Amino acid sequence: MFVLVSGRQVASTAAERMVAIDNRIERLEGRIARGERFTEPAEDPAGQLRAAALARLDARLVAEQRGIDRASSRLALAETAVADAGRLLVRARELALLAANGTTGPADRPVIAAEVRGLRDQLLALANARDEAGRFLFAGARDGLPAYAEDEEGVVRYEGFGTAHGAEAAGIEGLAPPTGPELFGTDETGAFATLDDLLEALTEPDDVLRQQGLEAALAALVEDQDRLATAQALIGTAMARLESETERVAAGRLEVARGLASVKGLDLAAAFSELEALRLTLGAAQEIFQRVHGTSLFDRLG
Amino acid sequence: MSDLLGLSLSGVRATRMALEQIADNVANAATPGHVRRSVQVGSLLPPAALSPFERDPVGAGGVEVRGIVRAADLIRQDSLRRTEGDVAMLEAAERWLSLVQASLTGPASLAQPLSELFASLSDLAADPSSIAVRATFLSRADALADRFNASAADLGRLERDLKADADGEAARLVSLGRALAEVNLQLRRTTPGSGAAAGLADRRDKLLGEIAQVATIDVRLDARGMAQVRLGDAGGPLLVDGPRSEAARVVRAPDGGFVLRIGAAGSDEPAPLLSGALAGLSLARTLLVEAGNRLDALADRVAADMNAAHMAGADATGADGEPLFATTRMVVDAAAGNGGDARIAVSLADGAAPGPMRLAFNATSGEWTLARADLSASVTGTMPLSLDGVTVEAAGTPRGGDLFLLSPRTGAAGIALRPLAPAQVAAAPRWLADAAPGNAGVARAEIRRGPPLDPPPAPPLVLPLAVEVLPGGLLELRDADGVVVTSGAVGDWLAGDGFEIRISGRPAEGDSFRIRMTEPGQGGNANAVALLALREARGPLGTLEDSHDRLVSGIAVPLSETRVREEAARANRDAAAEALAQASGVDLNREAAEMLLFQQAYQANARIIQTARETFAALLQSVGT
Repeated sequence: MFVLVSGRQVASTAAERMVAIDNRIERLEGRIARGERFTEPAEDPAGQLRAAALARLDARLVAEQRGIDRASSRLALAETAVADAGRLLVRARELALLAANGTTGPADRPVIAAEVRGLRDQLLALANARDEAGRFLFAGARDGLPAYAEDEEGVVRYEGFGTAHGAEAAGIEGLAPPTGPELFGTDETGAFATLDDLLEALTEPDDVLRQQGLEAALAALVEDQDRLATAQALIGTAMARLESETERVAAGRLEVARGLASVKGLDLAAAFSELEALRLTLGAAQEIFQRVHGTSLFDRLG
Repeated sequence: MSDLLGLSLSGVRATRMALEQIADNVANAATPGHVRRSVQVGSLLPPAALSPFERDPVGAGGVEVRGIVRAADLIRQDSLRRTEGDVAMLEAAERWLSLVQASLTGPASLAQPLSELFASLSDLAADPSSIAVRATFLSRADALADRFNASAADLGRLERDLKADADGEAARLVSLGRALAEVNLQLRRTTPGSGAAAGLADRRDKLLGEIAQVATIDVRLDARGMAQVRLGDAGGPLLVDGPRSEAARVVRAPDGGFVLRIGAAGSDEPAPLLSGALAGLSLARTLLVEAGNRLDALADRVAADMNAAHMAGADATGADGEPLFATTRMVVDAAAGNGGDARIAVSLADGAAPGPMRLAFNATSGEWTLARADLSASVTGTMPLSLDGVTVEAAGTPRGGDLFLLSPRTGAAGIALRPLAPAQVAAAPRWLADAAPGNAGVARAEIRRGPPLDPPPAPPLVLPLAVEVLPGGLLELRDADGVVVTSGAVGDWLAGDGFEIRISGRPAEGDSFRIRMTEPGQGGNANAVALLALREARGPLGTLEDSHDRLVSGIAVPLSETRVREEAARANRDAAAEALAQASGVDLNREAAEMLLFQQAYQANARIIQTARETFAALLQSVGT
């Protein structure tokens, strides 16, 4: 059938189709340049939502990792202080045993007492250990002030309150450094009281009372050491937990990256072959348009 | 013999006209809206009055031109108009929705500042005392508020531009209507079937096509070809009737979208918008208004949630947390007729909730007057002026009578970070509770902010308070003097003065739980954790981030759909245009073929005239001889 088509209409329709191919080529080139399957939400609304959720998850994992790192570093500082405190108590026990030994004379005891006093001061310094921000690690939530302070009578008292901050930023509860009483016991019966009792026993003139005092201090020191050891083990567990959380975050980020690649990532090979095909189509369309509509019967009329 | 001459003369005339028409068609092959014309010819009857010389006339009268016929196809024209209206609608919607999408996504997206705000809260929870982390949190909150303001301003600007676009389309509709009425008038005065009538019909159809690109129309043609145009359907208001055309204007619909009103103000009536650019603009405005409402709701929720959580905590100075965000802002609009170049700066006092105001300059006294819009209160004097917590300052030179309108904005346009110092970030909880060292049981204490006791305790409670575990597991909340405030069981929230405490686990008899208010510089991170938990908090529309996603997909999904429909509509339009062109278009090959045909007919007629002349001459010669 001979179809009558207006020359102008054919030209404008063909031009529009060629412009449409041109636009597709332009969009595809944009995607290839960015390496992304879509450049604006309307190109793939569902994919964009998934991509946005994944990007948020990634930002969140990065922030969680910072929280984990911070909590880990606080726990590491706490662990060092607790280990040092443990060594101090071992030395205090050695000194108590030495003083309780019958061979120690009255002249030795002031020397031993001086060392015990030094140990007590060192223990106080360790109990007031700080993190890298200068906050007192064992003071609980009241960490702007030293965890322990001596009162007017020279008694070391716990000044902290509540619990310290741990890895809550990463959504994990209970990974805070221990509080002072968890490490050193109460003001009345804890490590500081033990060392004060030991000092008192060392200066006791009465042999029987002194011996009793020393033995009581030795027994208390064992308890104090046990408490510290327990706390140290808990810190170790908490650090191990944070390490596994770090692995979780790393694995999570990897998954996010994979997810993003599958949602947003462009299959370059497919994109290039589509681009080639479009260019070929455009070229062919132009060529055919020229050949078919380049001539009319008028050209043939002499 | 004169017959022969007359017959071929009519043939020469008709073929010449046909050739002229072919030339006209070819000349207009590229003219938009040109409909192919052809000359309609018919055979003439022999003349009724015979001359005395024609005793045995042949039974033919030659050929006559009956008129010029346009190859118009009304059904296909209508279908092309309809599809062009669809394309115009979807094109307009696509253009504006793309702009709305751009003002909410990409570099203008709220996703990033929102995500960064929560990341900074996570850092604050990990390091609650750091000044740098607190300052970062405040700057992120500021960036989020700025982004809200920018998006709101973008949407506001787009809405105004959209209205201007719609006004332009309405004006185009009016001027097209007028032009069509003029064509109708000329059609009435022109002889049907003439070349002039065909030209006017072309012009009429072109105008109808352009009107259909603005709004949906229903067209009726009368015998003379005059168009009657109604908007919408056959029951819609009249836009053009004969030589009369109506006024049209666009007004904002209260629920978004536009309403097209036809007729003089006062007696106008609404026209349905089903296709055409105005329908697309109306659709875009509906979605734009909806996006603006969602944006405002999101901003209000961010401000309300963040403020409530922040106010529950204690800052580094030990004071109660203040609201983080202000929710109202004053926006200044200079009146169009202002002659001066004064610029007005407005500041709003904390917590002020002013209504709309107006600021005017009096050149005689050199004083400004700031007044409530309802004129119920005003202040007059030199700058700065304050009223209802609004302080205005002016720079530049005002002229007498200059007027400025101040309007309070809330939602996304109104949200702003309040001027807070890093120390005023409430990362710590207001109250702290812990188990006394030496407690024998295994139990923990949780504490949260609560209402103060009503009536206030008399005499006042002596701090600190504590919860004691009595025999049988009963809990008593007491002050330092042992006055019992309240009592309850394990697992209950006990109401204190401004707080509530809950003991859970297995406390032992004689255990106690201490309570204290957070002191300056203390308190840990519990409130930062509570602020961070807002990320997970689910409102009726899910989390904040869900609301944001809904805001974006509220535009992206219709935009994507519009693009798909637009592609289909273009294909439809092209098909309709091709169909019409097959019926009405100029095809050069066909014109060439017809040209050959008429050329030959012309030559043949001319030849017959020549033959008649020669025959006549021979006859005369023979007579003369």
